[in-house]
Amino acid sequence: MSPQRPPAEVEYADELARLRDADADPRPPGWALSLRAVRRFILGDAALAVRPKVVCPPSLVDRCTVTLATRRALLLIGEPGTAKSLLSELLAAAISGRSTLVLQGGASLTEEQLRYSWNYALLINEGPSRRALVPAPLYLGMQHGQVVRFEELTRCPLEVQDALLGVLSERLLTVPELEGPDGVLLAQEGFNLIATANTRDKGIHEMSAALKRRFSFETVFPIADAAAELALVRDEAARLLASSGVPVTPADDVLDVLVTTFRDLRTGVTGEGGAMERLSAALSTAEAVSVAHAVGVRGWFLRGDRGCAADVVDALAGTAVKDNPDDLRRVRRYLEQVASRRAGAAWRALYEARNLLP
Amino acid sequence: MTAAAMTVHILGVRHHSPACARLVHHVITTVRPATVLVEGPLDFNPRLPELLLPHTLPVALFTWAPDRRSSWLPLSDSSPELVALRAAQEVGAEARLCDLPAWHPAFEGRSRLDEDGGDALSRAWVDTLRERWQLDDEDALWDHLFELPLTYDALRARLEAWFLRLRDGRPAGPRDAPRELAMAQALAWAAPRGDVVLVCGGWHAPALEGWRDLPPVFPTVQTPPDAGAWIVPFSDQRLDSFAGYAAGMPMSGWQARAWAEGPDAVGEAALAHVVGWLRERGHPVSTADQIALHTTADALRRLRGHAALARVDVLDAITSVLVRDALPAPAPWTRRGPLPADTHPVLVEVARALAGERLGRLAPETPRPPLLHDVARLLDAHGLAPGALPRTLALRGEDPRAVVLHRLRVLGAPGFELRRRPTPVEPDERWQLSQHPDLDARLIEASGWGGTLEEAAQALLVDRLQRAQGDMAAVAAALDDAVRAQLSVQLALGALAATVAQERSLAALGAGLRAVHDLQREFAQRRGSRRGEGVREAVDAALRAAFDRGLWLVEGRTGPAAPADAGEIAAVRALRDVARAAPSPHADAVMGRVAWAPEAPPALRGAALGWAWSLGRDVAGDAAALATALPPTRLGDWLAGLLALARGAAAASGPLVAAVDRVTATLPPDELLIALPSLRLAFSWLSPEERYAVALAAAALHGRGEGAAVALLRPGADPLTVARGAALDAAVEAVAQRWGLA
Repeated sequence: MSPQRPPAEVEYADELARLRDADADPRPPGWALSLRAVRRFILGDAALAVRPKVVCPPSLVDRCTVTLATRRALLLIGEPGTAKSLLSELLAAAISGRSTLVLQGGASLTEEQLRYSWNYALLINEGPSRRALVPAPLYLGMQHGQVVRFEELTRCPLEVQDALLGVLSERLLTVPELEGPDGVLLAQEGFNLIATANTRDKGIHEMSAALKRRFSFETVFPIADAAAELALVRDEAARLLASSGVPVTPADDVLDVLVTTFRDLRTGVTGEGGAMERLSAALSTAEAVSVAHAVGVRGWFLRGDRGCAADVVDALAGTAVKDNPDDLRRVRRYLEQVASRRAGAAWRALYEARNLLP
Repeated sequence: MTAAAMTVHILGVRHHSPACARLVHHVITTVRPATVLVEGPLDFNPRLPELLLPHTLPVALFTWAPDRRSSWLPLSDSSPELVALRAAQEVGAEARLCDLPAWHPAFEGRSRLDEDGGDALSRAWVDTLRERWQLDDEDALWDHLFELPLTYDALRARLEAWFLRLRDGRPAGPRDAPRELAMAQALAWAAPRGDVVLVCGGWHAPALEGWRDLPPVFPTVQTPPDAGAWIVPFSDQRLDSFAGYAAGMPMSGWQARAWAEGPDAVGEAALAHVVGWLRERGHPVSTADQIALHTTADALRRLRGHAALARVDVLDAITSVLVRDALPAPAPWTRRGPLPADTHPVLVEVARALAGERLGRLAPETPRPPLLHDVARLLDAHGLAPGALPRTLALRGEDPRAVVLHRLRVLGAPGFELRRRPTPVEPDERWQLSQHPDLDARLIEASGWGGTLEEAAQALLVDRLQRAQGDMAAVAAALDDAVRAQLSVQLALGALAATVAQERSLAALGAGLRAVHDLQREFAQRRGSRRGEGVREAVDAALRAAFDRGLWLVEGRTGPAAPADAGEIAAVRALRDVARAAPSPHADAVMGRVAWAPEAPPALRGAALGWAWSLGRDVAGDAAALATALPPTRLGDWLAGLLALARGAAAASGPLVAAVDRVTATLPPDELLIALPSLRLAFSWLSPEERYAVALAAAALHGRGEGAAVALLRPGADPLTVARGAALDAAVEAVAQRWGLA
C-alpha cells in the first residue's frame, strides 16, 4: 500500500533534511527552517540538489515567508489553478514540517470543524474534559505551534470566517466548557495560518474588513513567461503520464500548440498582439497539464501513438469549455480565425479538428 | 609632476545612479586631479560654464544639428556627469567633455549594446546572477550590487568588475569605436598635465586603457553650421525609465532621495514619503500599518542580506502590507514601460509618489535653445507673427502656413487657435492668432523635444501617441494631426494598429478602418512623393490589423433579435471595400459563416450575404431562401444589411423581391407594424430607379402594371400631413433627448 499522493514533507523528506543540515541562518521561533532555507526549498538550490517546485517571482516567496515570520496570516489569492494550494503546502511543509493541518472551506464547514468538537460518549459519561475534547486542525496548529492551511477561505459562511478573528489577533482560543488552564489555549510559537482564495469566488462570501486587516494579501498570477510555462507543462505531463502507465509523452509541437492556445484564451491577447474576449473558464497551467495528460492517455491507449493536436480540441471541449456556450463560441472563433492562420503541422491539425467541438 | 607620478582614474558609471555619483564625488575630491573628463559632446566645451548656472534640475544637454541625429544627456542632482563637473569646480580642476557630439556620423552606426535589443552574452550572465540571489529583475540586481551602503573601494572594485564582465573584451562596434577613440585621445592629452579623472558610461570604461599609445592632442570635430548643444528643461517623468528613457534608473524620485539622504537612510525616508503621500490622498494608513511596513521591510532586508533598505524591500513591504485585496495585474515595477491601465489604485499612487514630480527650469541667463529661433524664423517667413490685435485667417489644408500652425498646435503653443475645422461644405480652416505672454515659456519648455518646429512637434506627437494607446478616438485625432501637420504618420499608424487590436466595438473599429483606408487611397494617389514612400507599408500594416480585427468582431456579435446598427453595417461596408481592392478568401469564409449563423444579428447576416453578392457571387437563391426563413419581424433589419452592401444586385433580383413580397403579404397587421420601420430603413438604401424596379416587380407579382408600381411609390398622404408628422417626430425626439431617453 502506498498513498496516491504523499504530502510534501514526505515526498521531499530528503531535500528537507539536507536543507536542515546545511541551514546556518537564524530561524524564527517555532520554525523548522530559516527563511532562506524555506526560499531554497521552494525555488530550488542546485548546490543541495533541491529542485525548484513553483514557477513564480522570487519576491513573492520572500513576501510570503516574511509575512508568516512577522506573525501575520497569509492569504494567497488568484485565478484557479495558479498553484496557490501547492505554494501553501510547500510553505507549511518547510516551516512546520507538516502540511496536513488542512481545512477545506465550503458552505458546509462549521465552527466545530474549525476549532474543536466533542466525543459525545465521553462527554455524557464524564462531562466536559480535556479527554473528551476532539481537536480540529486550528486547535492542533495552535497547540503544537504549526502552520494551519485554510483552503478556499471565501467559500465559507461569514460566521465561520469570523471565528478566526480572535485567534488571529489574540492568538488564543477559549474553551468555555473547560475550567482552569484547559479553558484557554495559547498559540505556541510557530503557529500561523495560510489561507487561499479564488478570485472567481469574489462576492460569494466577501471577507469582513476586520478579517481582511488580519491577512496579508498576496496575489498569485499565471506564469508570465511562455517558455517557463511550456517547460512546466512538459515536465508535469511526463510525470503524470508515467504514473498512468503511458511510456511516451506528447510531441513538442503539440504541447506548444496546447500551451499557446491556453495562454491566448486566458489573457485575451493572441501571440500576434490581437485582442479577443477572454474565456470565462479558468485556463490555468494546472488545466493545461491535465489536458496534456489526457492527450497522452488518449493517444496511447486508444491509438498507440503520442497524441495529436486533434486530441487537444477534444480535451478543450471537455475540460476548459465545459458547458458555457459563450466560451464554446469563443474557442470556435479562435480556431477559425487565429489557429487557421498559424504555420506548422500541429496548428493545421488543430484547425482541421475544429468540428470536434460540440 | 612627472608622467610616472600622475594617475589616471577611469570611472565607468551607470547614468543617474546615485551610488556612481557618490563615488565620482569622492574620487575627485580626494584625488584633486588637474583634469576632469566627462562623457559628453566635446564641442560644448567653450560653453561648459552654462551647465553650472543655477538651473532647476533636471535639465538636459541637447545636442542637435539640422537633419542629423539629435540626443539628450539628461542631468539631475544624482547624475555622475554633473556631479563630476561640479566637483571639478570645487577642487579647481579643468573640466572638459570628451565624447563626440550626437550629430557626428559615428552615431549613425549601431552600438553593440543595442543590437537585437540587448547582448545575449551579457544577458545570460546577468540572469545567472539574478537567479543566484533570487531577485526578480535586472534593476533589483543593480540595486543589490551597487546602491546599498558600501565602502568606496568596494563599490569601485565591484563596478569595475561588473563592466569588465559585461564588455567581456569585445571590440567596439562602428558606433562606439570613434567615440572611444575620442575619449582615449582626451586621456592622452590630459595625462601629461597631472592626475586625471574620467567619467564615462561603464560599457566604454574597459576599452579606454589604450590611451597610452596615443599622441597628447585633444580630439576635435568639424561642427556643421547651426549645429551645437543647448541646455533644455527636462522632467522627472521623462527621466524615469518606467516612462521610456531606457538608459535611466527606475523611479527618479527614489533616486533623488537616495542622493540627498544617502543609501543608509533613503529607504526610511521613502517609506515616510509614501505614507504621507497616501494619507494626503485619503488612503488610510494606520499606525499598525506603519509598524507592519517597517517590520516587513526590515525582515525582507535581512532575508536578502541587504545592509540597508533597498528599493525592492520597500516596494515589497508596501505591496504586502497596504494592498488588501487581489491585485488585478502584477505590480507596475515588475516591468518597464508606462503604468498599465489595470494597476491597483494604491500601487498607482505609490508609483507616482516615487516617480518624482520635478520639472526642470533654466537659469535666466541660459542661451535660448534653437527651437525659439526656428519658430521665430518660420513665423516671419510666413507672415504669421501675431500682432498686438488678434486676427483671423482662413486657410486651405495644403497651405504651407496651415502646416506651420498645425505644428505649433501640436506643440501646445498658446496664441495659435484653430477656431473651425474644415468640412465638406467649408473646406477652409479658420485660425485665430494673438499675442500670448506664455509663448516663449512654452517654446523653451518644448525645446527639450527638438531643435526645429518639425522635430519638436514630431517628438511631442510620439509622446502623445504613447499615452493615447488603447483610446481609439485619441489615436485617430493624433493621426489626423500628423496628417495635417505633415509629420510622420508611421507611429500614429502603429498606435492605431495596436489600438485596433484592443477595440471591442465593431462600429468604432469600422470608423478607424475607413480612416486608414482613405489614407491608403490618398497615398496611392500621391505615389512617388517624398512623404508617400515608406509610409505605405505602415498604412498597409494598420489596414491589415484593422481588417483582421473587424472580421474577428463581426463573427463575435450575437443577438438574433438585435435591431440594425448603422455603425456596424458601415463597418462591414468598410471591410468589403478593403476586400474589394485585396481579395481575401479568409474574409469570404468568415462572411459565409456569419450569413448562415442563426445567433448573429440579422443586419450583420444580411450584410454578410451582401458581401458575397457585391463581390460578384450570385447568391440570389440563398437570399430568397433566407428571406422566408428569418423571423418576419426581423426581415427589415436583414434587408438593411443586405441592401447596404449589394443594393444593385438585390434590387434587381426577382426571387428575392418575390420572397419579401410573400412574407410581408402574409404578415398579420400588428407584426407588420413592428417590421415596418426597419423595412423602411432598408429601402432607404435604394436609389429612386432601384426602388422603381422593385415596385415594378412587386406589381407584376400581383398581376398589375406600371400604373400600380408608380402608385406604390407615391406617398399616400397629403404632403402637409407628412410635414406635420415629421415635426411631431422631431418634437418627441427633442423631449426624449432632454430626459436622456433617446
